[in-house]
Amino acid sequence: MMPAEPGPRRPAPATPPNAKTVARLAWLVVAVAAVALVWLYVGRFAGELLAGILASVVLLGALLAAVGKGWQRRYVALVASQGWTYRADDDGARAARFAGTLAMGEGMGVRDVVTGTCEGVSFEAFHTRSNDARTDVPGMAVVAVRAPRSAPDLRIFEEEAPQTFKQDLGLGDLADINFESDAFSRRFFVQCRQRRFAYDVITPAMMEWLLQRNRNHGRWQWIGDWLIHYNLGAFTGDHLVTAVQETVAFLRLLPRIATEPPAAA
Amino acid sequence: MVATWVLVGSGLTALVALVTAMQYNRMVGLRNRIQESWSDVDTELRRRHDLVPNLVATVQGYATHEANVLGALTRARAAVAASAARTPQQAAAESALGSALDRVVAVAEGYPELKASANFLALQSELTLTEDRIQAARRFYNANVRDYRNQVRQFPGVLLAGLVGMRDDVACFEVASPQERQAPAVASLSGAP
Repeated sequence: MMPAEPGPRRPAPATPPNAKTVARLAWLVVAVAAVALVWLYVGRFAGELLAGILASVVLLGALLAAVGKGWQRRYVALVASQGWTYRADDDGARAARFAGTLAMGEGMGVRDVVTGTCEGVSFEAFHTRSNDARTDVPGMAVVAVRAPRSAPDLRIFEEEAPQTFKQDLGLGDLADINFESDAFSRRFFVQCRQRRFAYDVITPAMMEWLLQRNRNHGRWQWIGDWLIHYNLGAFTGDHLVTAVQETVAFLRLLPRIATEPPAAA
Repeated sequence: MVATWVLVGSGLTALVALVTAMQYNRMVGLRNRIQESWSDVDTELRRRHDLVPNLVATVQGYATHEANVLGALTRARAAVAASAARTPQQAAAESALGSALDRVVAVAEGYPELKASANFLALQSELTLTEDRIQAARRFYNANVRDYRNQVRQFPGVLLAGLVGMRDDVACFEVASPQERQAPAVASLSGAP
């Protein structure tokens, strides 16, 4: 099942600035401006050079603010063009719900929350960032949909060299589950505490579909009542639409045996 | 000096014993996993067998001129019952049963009243789900067989397997019929366009 074509109106792709960098630069701007104002007030070194520096700093600050606002404006326009809803900040529910799942620690922050429906499936998408110094997980772009049933923790992601090395040494927390398709097993790591459930979900059709995806298209995790698709970083324009469509397509590809309660023997 | 060699020898012996024990336990674990996963396959196959009498009775009520097709289905079910578990004969018999079921469902296309029958629709739905379950259980069983075979054929398992009588003669449960390789689509069974 291929994802449906995105909506007709689509603004140009936008790239969000790194939130932490922007915050740090903003503080720097404030600090430099404060120092400059003190200098001016004291009047010892007041002159054209100082005025130029001050003007440059103020200009840089304004530029950074404009870039951030510009990205947000384009993102909101993209969301609106799809008939979805945007909120800059979370009400706290998502942080509480997904902090453990996404290994972001207690200080997970959620922003840029998008809610809506795609092909009749309700979803929520958002950006996360960690405020917890003990975790080194960077910000993530997440799409979450309600799963048809509660499930053990199933993870599907593309193989990465460090992960492969850890698995080869037997250091991984969960073993990689191999499937009959060599191409699939070479490219993807599948981990699940119930191996049989992984086989129920990942059918030959599902394997074929996942193999057709572009590399680094994101990770999948079905944990509890939620099916989650996530990437490191932030959504860049069309990527939001694609991620939502692919999450819905994943849901549609699930066979009945994976969506219904297990049959009694 | 002698004490050092004794220590080294003891250490090596303990290491070999540890690796041997781990290998043996892994082989036993994999073998048990094969047994467990086969019981899943067997359960689903039995579920499908149990659907046959109901399907025959339902179709007979509407399609009175399809005695050949229904007879073939009944004979296929009997052949499955007569075959020994986990043998190529059983796999062939199950394939034949799957094909016979496909033919009965195809025949139903020509009988609108039968297609609309609530009983038939329920049986179709159950049959589809059962085929999916058989496919998943069979793939899982075959994966376990593959893991076990790898364990007893690869080093260092191959050294131990012969000593403890772990043979790699466990066969995968393969289905000969191409139709059975893929579970029938819900739409094709339920008559949806």
